[in-house]
Amino acid sequence: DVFDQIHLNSYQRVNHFRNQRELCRKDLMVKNLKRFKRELQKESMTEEAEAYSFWPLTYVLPGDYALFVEEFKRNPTSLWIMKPVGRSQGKGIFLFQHLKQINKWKSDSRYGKGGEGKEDQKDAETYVVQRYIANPYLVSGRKFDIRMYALVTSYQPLVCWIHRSGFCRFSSIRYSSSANTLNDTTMHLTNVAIQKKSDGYDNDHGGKWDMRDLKLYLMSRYGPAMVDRLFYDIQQTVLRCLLSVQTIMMNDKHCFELYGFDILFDDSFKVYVIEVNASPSMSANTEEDKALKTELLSSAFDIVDLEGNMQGDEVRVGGFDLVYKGSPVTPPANSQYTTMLGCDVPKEPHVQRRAELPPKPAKGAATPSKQRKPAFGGGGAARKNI
Amino acid sequence: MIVTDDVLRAEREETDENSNANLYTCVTPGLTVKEVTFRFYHQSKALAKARVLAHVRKHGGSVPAATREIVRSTGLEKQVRNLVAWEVENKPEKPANNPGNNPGNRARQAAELEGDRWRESVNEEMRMAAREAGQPIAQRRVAEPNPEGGEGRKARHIFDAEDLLDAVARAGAEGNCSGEVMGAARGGGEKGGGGELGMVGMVRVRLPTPSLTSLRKTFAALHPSNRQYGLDETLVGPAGKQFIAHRHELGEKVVAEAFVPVARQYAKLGLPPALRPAIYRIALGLPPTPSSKEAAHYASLLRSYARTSFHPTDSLLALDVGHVSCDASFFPFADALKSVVEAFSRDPYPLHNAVAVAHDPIQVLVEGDTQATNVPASGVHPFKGFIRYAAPLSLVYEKQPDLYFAFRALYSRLFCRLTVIDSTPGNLVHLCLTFERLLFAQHPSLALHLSAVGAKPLQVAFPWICHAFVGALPVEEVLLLWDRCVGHDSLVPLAVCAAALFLWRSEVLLCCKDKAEVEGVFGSGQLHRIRIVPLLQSFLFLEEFKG
Repeated sequence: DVFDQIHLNSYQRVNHFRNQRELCRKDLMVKNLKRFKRELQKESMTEEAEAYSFWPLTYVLPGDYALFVEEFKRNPTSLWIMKPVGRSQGKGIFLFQHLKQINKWKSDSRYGKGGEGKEDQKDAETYVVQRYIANPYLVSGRKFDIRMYALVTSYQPLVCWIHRSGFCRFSSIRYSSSANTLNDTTMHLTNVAIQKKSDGYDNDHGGKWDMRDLKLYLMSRYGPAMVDRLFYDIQQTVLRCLLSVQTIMMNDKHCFELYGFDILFDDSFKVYVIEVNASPSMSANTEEDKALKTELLSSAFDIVDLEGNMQGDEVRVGGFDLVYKGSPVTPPANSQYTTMLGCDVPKEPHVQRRAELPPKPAKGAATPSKQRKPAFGGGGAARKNI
Repeated sequence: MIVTDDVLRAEREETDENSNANLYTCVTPGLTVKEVTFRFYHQSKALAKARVLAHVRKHGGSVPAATREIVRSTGLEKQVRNLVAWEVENKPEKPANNPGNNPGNRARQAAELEGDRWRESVNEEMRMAAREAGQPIAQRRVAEPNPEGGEGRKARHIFDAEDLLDAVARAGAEGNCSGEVMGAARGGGEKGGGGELGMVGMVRVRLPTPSLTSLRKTFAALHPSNRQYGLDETLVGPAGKQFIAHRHELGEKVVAEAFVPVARQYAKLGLPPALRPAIYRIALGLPPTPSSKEAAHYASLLRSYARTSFHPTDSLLALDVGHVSCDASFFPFADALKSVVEAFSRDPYPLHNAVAVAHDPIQVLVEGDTQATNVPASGVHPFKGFIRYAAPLSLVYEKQPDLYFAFRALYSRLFCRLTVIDSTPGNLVHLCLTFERLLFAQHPSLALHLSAVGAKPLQVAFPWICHAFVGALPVEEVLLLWDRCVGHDSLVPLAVCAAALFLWRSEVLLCCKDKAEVEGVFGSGQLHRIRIVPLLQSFLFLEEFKG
């Protein structure tokens, strides 16, 4: 809110967008994704709309309780996971299989069991309930998810850089989807904060794999073509998430955001987005982690370009590849990769430029403005909508 | 042994239906193996003859031509070729036995002496450890094994890389043949120095080692003019794409051919990860696709592990597993690796087939058996880091039996040489000496500086060499290095790689002031972005390109 009032110079930046919660709160993200999918369907872009199926079936409680119950009754044996919308580090997340476990979220106006419902509702914060992905891809019997980083410097036009590297966070216990293990958060949740408390946690490696190890593992089993396709799917999923909130994000030339995407894929290699974090953890628990994150931050600051060093035709800065600038950025012709995700982070040269210069974007947005315009144009009005 | 129904059934499942269906009519339960073999031989001879004659009748031609045709079409030819190639190449090189009391011979004898002493000391350690634990060395397992040394005592390793290094350094101490003693160590004879390279080296045994020029010839495949994995597949654009496609195409042909020398030649240029499982198997003498026989054998090994427990072997294995689960790349596979080393300890194959036999098994009489059994059956006493030889393979192979057989073959062919102390070229002592001489020849001031600060080059490099770089380099690079070792059927790339690492970091190392700093240069996280293939290429061939 503070930033609404002051004027930012060209060399000043804020590392969040005003309404980043549209992407980062679990309920709002799903709402936006559903809305965008409907819009695509209305415009008869059915193929693209079909691709928007990378999140599990989700309902927001207590609002959608009735809808949820209908769906639940259709498949009474499936597993569901409850997540609070505003919390992080895996706090408050649990799995369930029976309706009575989520009694607290019954909205009393529909289920009218007298006055008792009202008291419960005061305690029940907003949660999302999702169909649990019970068949995640396992490495040696363990569940893992992938954390990757995407840097967005503008939403209008969408300019997105994706970092090549990332890491996989493993659970320290072998996975099982049987009913008696549902309460074992260490098995089902891969957040580092949760894994740290388990017995199997080891400080030396922190239960993490670099993307390179995952790539080698998968290539040895499935060949390079399949691995390339998987990583390409992951990249496209990230882009689709960003596109779905593009129109409602309040853009500002002084804003940028480094998102941490949590990705999971199941045993048929279907990609899911679990969530998006606007403030991904930058603390490191191993040497490799530290190296990854320092490189990440250093390149991110180069891209954000407080000193005006960038020429405008860069396609790679450090470990970040430009994947979207108003339209998708295609890799060089005849490349064996459709995405650079998972590839090595080259040290030299630090910056790589396009072979031919694209037409320079209108300089109006980038030049420092002498007006006293507040940093977030229309921020006052938009604030009411949030 | 009496032939039973089970054995018959198992054998039948493995055979080709149309040709051998009649063979088993000669076999009935109740015969001894000898009788069965006899009848089998005669029956199969008769059947083969009938088949050849049928072929001649059908297609014409002579009997020899028909035989050749049948042998080729049933795939028998491939198997025979592979067997012959394997036997020819499998003979371990014996050092030329020059009679006479020349320094070369004395060196060899000194090394052998040390090797014997080392083996005895390892055995002694094992017995002592068993005594400490208060358990008999072998007994029937009564309860679930408790790997945390449930006997109440903390198991400790019987030896680790440092002990092995000491033994290497001791080899040749008596009857010391210090020929070219360099510079300052002329006074010689102090406990630290006196080695062949004076203060700098630790190996005292004088053996002929390859020079850089001869290495350039041997490893010509690594020359930058050849496109290879480890470098060229990372080129973005048409060059990289074509290279990968070409290598895959060639590799699939190699797998179809399944011929050992061809697979080795292909491996010299590095392997695409998708083809690595099959090529390793072929190059190590296994059939390209795993069979159910292998799975059955693996299962029986695990069963025998469960039946009898050997102390302290088993708790030492468990301790080693604990170490590997601390490693960033291998921790998900700790369980699989544990089963693999357990099965290995019960397998007599390495004892009889390994190129170099490291330790002597202890002969023990288990209660209820009439004959003494070897403990461990494989003849390899567990030591710290043994499991590392198997660890990178866990990222390559999907199923445990495949992992096991590849590991067993890799160990028996290559890595067993890293655990023996003798004078055979290609084994540990020789590799260490190669490393020292290479480093000294390329950068003598670095070697001298490091010794002066108390970190002799071999002290730093020894864990890399004896663990085949597992844990020191990222897994991908380790596997690329192993590709070259498998391809050349030699461990010399390990020594070259160690020397190359020192040379690459020579400027930083020259600024180090003590041992801790030197170790920090190569410490955790420092090498995790390194690419091994360009490093080896620059070490071997850079001078060619220098103006």
